[in-house]
Amino acid sequence: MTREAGRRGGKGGMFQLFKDPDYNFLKFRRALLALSVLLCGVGLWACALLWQGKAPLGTDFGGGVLLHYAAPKTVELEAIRGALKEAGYPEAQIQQVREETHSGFKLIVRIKRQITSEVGTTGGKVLGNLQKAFPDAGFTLEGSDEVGPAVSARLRDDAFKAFSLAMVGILFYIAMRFAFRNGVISVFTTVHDILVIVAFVVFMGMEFDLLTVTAILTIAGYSLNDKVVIFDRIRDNLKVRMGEAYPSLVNLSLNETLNRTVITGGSTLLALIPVYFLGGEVLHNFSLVLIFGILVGTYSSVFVASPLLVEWNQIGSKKG
Amino acid sequence: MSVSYQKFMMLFVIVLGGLSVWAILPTEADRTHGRPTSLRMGLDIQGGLHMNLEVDQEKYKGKTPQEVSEAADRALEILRNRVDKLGVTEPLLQREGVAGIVVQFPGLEDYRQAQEIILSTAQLEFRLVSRLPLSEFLDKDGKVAVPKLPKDITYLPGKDEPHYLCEKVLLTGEALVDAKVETDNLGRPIVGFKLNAEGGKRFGVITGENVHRQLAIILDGKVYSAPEIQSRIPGGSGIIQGSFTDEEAGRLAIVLKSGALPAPMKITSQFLVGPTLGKDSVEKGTKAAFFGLLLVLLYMVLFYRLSGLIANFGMLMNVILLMGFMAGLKATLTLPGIAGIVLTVGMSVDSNVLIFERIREELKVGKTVRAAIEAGYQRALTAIIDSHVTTLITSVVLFQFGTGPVKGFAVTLSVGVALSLFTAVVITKMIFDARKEYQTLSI
Repeated sequence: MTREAGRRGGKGGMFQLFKDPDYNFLKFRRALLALSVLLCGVGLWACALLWQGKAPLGTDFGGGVLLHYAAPKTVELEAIRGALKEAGYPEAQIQQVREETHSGFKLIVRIKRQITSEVGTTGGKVLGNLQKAFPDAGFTLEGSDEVGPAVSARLRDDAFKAFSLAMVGILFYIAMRFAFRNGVISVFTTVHDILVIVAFVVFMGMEFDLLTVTAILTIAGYSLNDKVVIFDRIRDNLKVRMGEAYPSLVNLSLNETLNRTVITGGSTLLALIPVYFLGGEVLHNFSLVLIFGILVGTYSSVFVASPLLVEWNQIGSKKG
Repeated sequence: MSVSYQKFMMLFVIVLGGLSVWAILPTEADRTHGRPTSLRMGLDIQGGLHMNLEVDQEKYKGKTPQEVSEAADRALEILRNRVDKLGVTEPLLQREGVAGIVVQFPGLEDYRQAQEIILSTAQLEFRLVSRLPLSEFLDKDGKVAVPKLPKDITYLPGKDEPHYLCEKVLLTGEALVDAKVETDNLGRPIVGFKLNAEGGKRFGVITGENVHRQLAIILDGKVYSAPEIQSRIPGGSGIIQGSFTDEEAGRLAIVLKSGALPAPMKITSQFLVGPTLGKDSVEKGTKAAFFGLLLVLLYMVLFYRLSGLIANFGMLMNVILLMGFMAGLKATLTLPGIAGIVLTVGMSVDSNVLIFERIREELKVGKTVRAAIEAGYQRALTAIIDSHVTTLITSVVLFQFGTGPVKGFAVTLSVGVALSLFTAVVITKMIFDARKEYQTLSI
């Protein structure tokens, strides 16, 4: 009676993506691992570009100033460029911000000079120059980031140190809860995900700033969570199905968690898509990095971390 | 699970939720400042001025790190004093690192005023103006040829007149006990000051010995005025003139009274978010986040029907409790902090997806609904705990060792993940347990 009820409840209302999936996720694992090695290489190259200053760094990491101005009247960008050049800022990049919600004129000025003594005063100085050159426009300073060179180096080092420490903590915890190899592979895959995202940011021509770092940390958290869930299922199956070959056990675990992998990934993407379209200028790039990162993190759980477990196991069993 | 435990848990959840909502709701003080909630918003959201200051070690040379650090400690106290008198609401001043000070003014509009108050070293000096004729030391451009000056003579720029040649320092601002804005007989603002007993005595001697000479009053290396001494000035009070605006005089009085900075400071970075810029990003961000949340709620109901509704309740509780804790801890919500909330919501949803998928598996192998729920929760628990602990390790380390935005991210994530274990597992289980007999399960 209750058994009957259970089955009825189970079957009748369920909305399932995959019914009893049985895919071979490990079939092309060598080729896909090679692809990941290649992607990591590209990521390292992107990091080198950032390090050398050849890829665009945000003001917080690269130093310099980013100034937001507003005026009720529109001014020709060429005229502004000329005025700033005359005022001693020939390298200033200017950009007009177009927003439907705002009447009037919005301007962003970037000066990538290594400012030292004048940190904090450039916004006011440039405003003075704009007001002098265009007295009728009514320019006001809406916002500014001014960062000296020492700070940007420190921010970078701090973020790097904190992240490395976190990874050591993760390595120990996962090694303790699962096996040493799971710890190593988790950290390795997280670094893989980060490299792929850095490559994405650099080759999309986005500025690499502190918000990008936040996005990367978010993805690192998501990606680790995703791996732990699959590792947990493998740990479970190892107990229940003793004697089964390790690769098929891993593959079974991937199939069993497939619904969860896709549903969770899907819900997170769903939360981010409106942010991408409606979130405004600041959140636009941020959410794009997150969306890409969720895809990478999910991919690497199935096609990097799990195959690595299988490979590690095979090397281990050959030796033993 | 016993009935009394069940009732206790329900009461606990209701009280906790109520407390959180109460913590988030604006207090009287918040309403008078026009804030919609008592949750503190970061400068990146509500606008304001953020400055990172540092002891200028190029000018403050040859000091040990300890001396530099002590100078920064004293500077912080003096800056606190100045800022208090400026009357900014909820300013934040903190020491950071060996030589750094962080200054935040939320919602500040007149950033230049604040900047000048912070940066003024307020080094007050009194020197006699040299009797040497200035014209002999000017080169053909009209600039002072410093190398030609005698050893005991210092060249200083003036506020109104370009050049002054001054003798040695006779008295400094250390002796100053009070300064306030006054007006002269023409109604122009001037700054009156008062010296302590010893300083007053010395001031009397100096003025008595140098009648009919010019006494230069110098602030931060600039001569503000250099009046001729008419007669000995007893009592230790005097005035500083310098064709001030009301604002300038007010600022000068503030910095003089709170004392000189022990070392010159420089800005290493500064972030200014104007009120309109901040407001704009908040409006858009809120709208987008609202739609995102709504989509996830619908998605869960689409996949898991009534069980999805239960998961949604857990997730909403997570967000409410998280906001409540943030408000209670007086933590600040920043844009990266919102990213932390997004990840928390993701993990909260994931926990329920894990549980529900397990329940479905158990139903498939033919367990009763009751048994499937129990087994589903139990078997999903290891994955949920391990993934939460993993995330908690990351976020706590980032909170401890990260700076600025990274910290803002870590705060919401640490609190959120800790709460998620409770909301996504304990609360949802409590709702499932509210009914004893299940014939069918909407999942």
